[in-house]
Amino acid sequence: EKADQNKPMNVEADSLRYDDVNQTSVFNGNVVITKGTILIRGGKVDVRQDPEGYQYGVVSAAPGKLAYYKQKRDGVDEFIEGEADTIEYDGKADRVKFIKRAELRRLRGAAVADEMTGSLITYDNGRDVFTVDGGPGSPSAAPGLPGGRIRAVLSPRPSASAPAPTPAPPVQLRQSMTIGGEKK
Amino acid sequence: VDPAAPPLDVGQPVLKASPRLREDIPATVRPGLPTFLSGERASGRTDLETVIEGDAQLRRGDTIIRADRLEYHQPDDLAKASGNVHINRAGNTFDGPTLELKIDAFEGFFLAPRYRFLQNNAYGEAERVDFLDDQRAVIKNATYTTCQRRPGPSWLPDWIIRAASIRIDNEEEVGHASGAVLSFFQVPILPVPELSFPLSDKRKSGLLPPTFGLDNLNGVELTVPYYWDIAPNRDATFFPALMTKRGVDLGGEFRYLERDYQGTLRANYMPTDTLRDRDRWGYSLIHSGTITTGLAGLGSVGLNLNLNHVSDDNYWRDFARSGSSLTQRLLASDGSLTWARGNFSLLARSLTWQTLQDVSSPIVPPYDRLPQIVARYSRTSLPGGLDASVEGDYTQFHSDRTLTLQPNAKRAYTLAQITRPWQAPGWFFTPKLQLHATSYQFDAPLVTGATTASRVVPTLSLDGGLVFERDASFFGRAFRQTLEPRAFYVHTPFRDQNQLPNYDSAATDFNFATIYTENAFGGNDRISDNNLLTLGATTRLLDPDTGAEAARFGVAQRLRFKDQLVTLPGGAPVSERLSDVLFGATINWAPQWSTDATVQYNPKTGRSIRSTIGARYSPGNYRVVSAAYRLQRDSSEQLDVGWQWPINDLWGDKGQNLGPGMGEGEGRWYSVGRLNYSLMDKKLVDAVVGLEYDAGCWLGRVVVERLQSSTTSSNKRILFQLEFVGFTRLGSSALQSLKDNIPRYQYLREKVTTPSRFSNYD
Amino acid sequence: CGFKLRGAPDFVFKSIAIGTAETSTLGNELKRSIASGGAVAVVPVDRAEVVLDVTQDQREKVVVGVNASGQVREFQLRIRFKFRLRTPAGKELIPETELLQQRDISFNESAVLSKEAEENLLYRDMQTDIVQQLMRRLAAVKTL
Repeated sequence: EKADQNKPMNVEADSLRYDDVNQTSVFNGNVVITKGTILIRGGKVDVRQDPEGYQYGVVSAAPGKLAYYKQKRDGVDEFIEGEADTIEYDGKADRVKFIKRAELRRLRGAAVADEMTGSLITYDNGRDVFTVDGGPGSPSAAPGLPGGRIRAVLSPRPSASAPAPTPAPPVQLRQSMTIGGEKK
Repeated sequence: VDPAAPPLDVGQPVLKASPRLREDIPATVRPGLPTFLSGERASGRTDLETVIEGDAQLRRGDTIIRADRLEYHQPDDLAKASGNVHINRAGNTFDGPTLELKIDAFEGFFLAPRYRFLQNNAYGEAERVDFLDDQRAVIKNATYTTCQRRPGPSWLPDWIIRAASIRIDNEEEVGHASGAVLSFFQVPILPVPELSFPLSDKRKSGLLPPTFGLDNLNGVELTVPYYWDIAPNRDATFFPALMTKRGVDLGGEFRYLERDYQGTLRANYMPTDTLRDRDRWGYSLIHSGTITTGLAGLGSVGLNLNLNHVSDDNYWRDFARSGSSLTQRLLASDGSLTWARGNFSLLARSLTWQTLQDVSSPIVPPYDRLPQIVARYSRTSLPGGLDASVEGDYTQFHSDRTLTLQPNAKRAYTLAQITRPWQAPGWFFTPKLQLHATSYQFDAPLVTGATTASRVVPTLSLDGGLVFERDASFFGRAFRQTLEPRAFYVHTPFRDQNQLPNYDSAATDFNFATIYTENAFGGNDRISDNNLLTLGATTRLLDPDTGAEAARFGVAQRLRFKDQLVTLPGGAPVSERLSDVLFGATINWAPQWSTDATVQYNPKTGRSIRSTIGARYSPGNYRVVSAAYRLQRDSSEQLDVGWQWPINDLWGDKGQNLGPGMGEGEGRWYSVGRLNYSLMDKKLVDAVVGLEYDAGCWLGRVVVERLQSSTTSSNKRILFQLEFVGFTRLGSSALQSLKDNIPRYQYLREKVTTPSRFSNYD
Repeated sequence: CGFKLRGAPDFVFKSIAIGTAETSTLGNELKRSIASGGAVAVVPVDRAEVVLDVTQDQREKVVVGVNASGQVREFQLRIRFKFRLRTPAGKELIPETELLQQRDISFNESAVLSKEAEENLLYRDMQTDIVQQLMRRLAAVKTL
């Protein structure tokens, strides 16, 4: 949601190291970050704060796993959920980037409404715009999907009404193949 | 393969379509289907629009859209595609530069498309296609043909339709072209302002393939049949025929199918036929149905009509093969009411005959039954395992006394019958006691002066047989062989009836069915006096796995202990103690071969009275040769040959096996024919020889027909026909007689089921 | 020579549904002969272990011999019976098979009334033959 921007961010991790040179704090080992409705999980997270107080985070996945990001959408009971090798969160632009083996899912309640896979997905929470990039030559983003291709699955809007049931067909005359009439 | 099915046993794994693979997507499911998008880049706003670039693909249910760029607006389900757009909707494909389409409603337009229909592989191109809904589309300034493109720049389709607009309706499976011209080898032969044609073999109004012929009787003959699909349960076919030497014959057939009755009415009318200088007409109505009387006690009554009548005695000669009565010179008008309740049934019937006399071959007209009332009561499994039945019949026989030389009569008979059937897998025994009582009332005195007569005849028959089985093998094939000996004893005392007139009796053929029946005569005017024992045996070779009968041989002979004195008027008593030996064989050794023979051989005279020998060889589709010899001593001796064979086989071109009803590929010639030779008349009685050419997207047919119309004259005729595959309705051909008379004759394009949409899957 | 009286056929199923029309005489004779065997019961489709689908149960009569003056001399009578045996779930036990019986019958226009009765005799004889073959085919089914 938009309100997440000015919510406090709290972080749990195995260890914390403050890197003075880049002015970033580096969390390591099963990092879990919550900020309003945003939830981030990853193996290693670098968090940086700019002078105006916006926070930027780079989440890289633990070996063999994917970094995970989840956020509630504005004004709708829906969640955006994404996974990738690395996730970059830009607090100022309120934009999340999922890089390599990226997958973005929109959950309506428990059910998955839409699902996108590609090598680079950017999701702009403010303008609710997403772009999915295959990135030519990059490895396949999902099983069965050729390299450099993206895939999206959109489910129909729930308001689609079911059409009226079709009436039972009347008794049918079977067409005889002959015009000469069967010799019966 | 359906995972839930038990694992296939050892042997070649068989892949079967799982029932969940649905051919058609039901309308209720369609809105709920997800949309799959893929491409190189995608962007968009969730729930609003998605733009995909770089070989974009949209797939939902049975529709796939491929293009360079694809915009999909989710709120109004609108897809906009540009750059080599390709749609595949349930097998029908459209290709072109730009498209706008509401996917579920399948509404939109497509510019400069090239299209191909799964149904009959017809294709073409057009200026624009407007999709009205998922079943209907209008193609502007379009072409349509089923002649598949062959390599080489100079190739042109053999036939093509150019139309201002073609309206395709997949629900009705009909195409409707307006401002159309059909050109055949670049020659416009059928400029038709308005024209509808079938997309499939479903019934649909429209022109049928015209038949063109030359005939020594009719001159030039052109028939242009028109089929009118009035309603799903009613249709009519009109076949107006222009005959230059005689005039115009208006023929038609109307069929109706209602809830409790159905029927077919065929009729033709020819004003002033110059051949005989009079009006000619003929009709035949076949109707069957039930009438619910509504009366509690009565319930419903069955009504069956089979009425045939023609204008004159030469009708059968001048309108060959057009009537629906099998016996062209004997036309029945038969109406019957039937009623049944439990074990009791009642039949009221009136049967009159129109005999087309010919001075050179007169026919003694059979008797009319005006009326015939039959009451029948039968009970099975009575106490003691008895079956009993009583049948009463009252008939007024009427005919032309000058021809039959017999008085007409009112006859009533009752036939009471009691049997005690013992039935077991290994044997059966059926004793039967019959009592046949008849009384006549003649409308003119017999030679003896009597005007009435009566006769009561009891009959006892014992029918028994055993069934032995063993495993055996012949010519290297394992069989389950059966041996079924049978004995049939019948005793009927002599009752004098030889000088009674005969109305409905005649000698029955001598075959394996009649040799085990009590009366040597059919009908009820002659009950043959018998004291005879028939001994016979049948052996069958059965395939142990399927139980199919590969061969059957039978032999039977009658031992007569007393002469048979009852005869038909003018017949002689039967005095041989040993009847002719009856041999029978039916062999279906392999699917290609089948022979069937019943030969009756008289050891004393070394001659046969009744023999039928037939064989058929059909190794595959469109290949059959069948021949039959049928002898009925002093009545007819006929040789019947029929064949359908591809001529290309002669020079080794066996053609491809495209399955039944699809022909065997392009450029193939097929010879077809049926010859019926009467050895007694020493004449070729009925000869039809045809040549069919299969050019892949059209069929040409030439047929020469020679029909004997009297011992001295015959009709000779040549017929031509063109059929455009996927355009004119198929299967209706002037060779209707071939389909009847050559067993396993196959049309080159048979009613084909719609190919599965998965056969053209992107 | 190895011949033994035929024993009762052992069917691998106990109940069967017969898909013939009510008015089909062949269907009724088949039901009677199955019921008389005692081992198998004829039941409606929903309670049957196996279902006999009948796609064609048709009597045909064709002219096969005409003399020079247009009089019919030979008819061929045929009974064509196409069937398939499957389990209610749809597993095919016997693929679609056509049983065809044919008999030739001589004919003379004057004796048409008697030939009508003889025709019925031949149709009944063919019908009994087809029912017997069907019983053997049903008994030949090994596994369900």
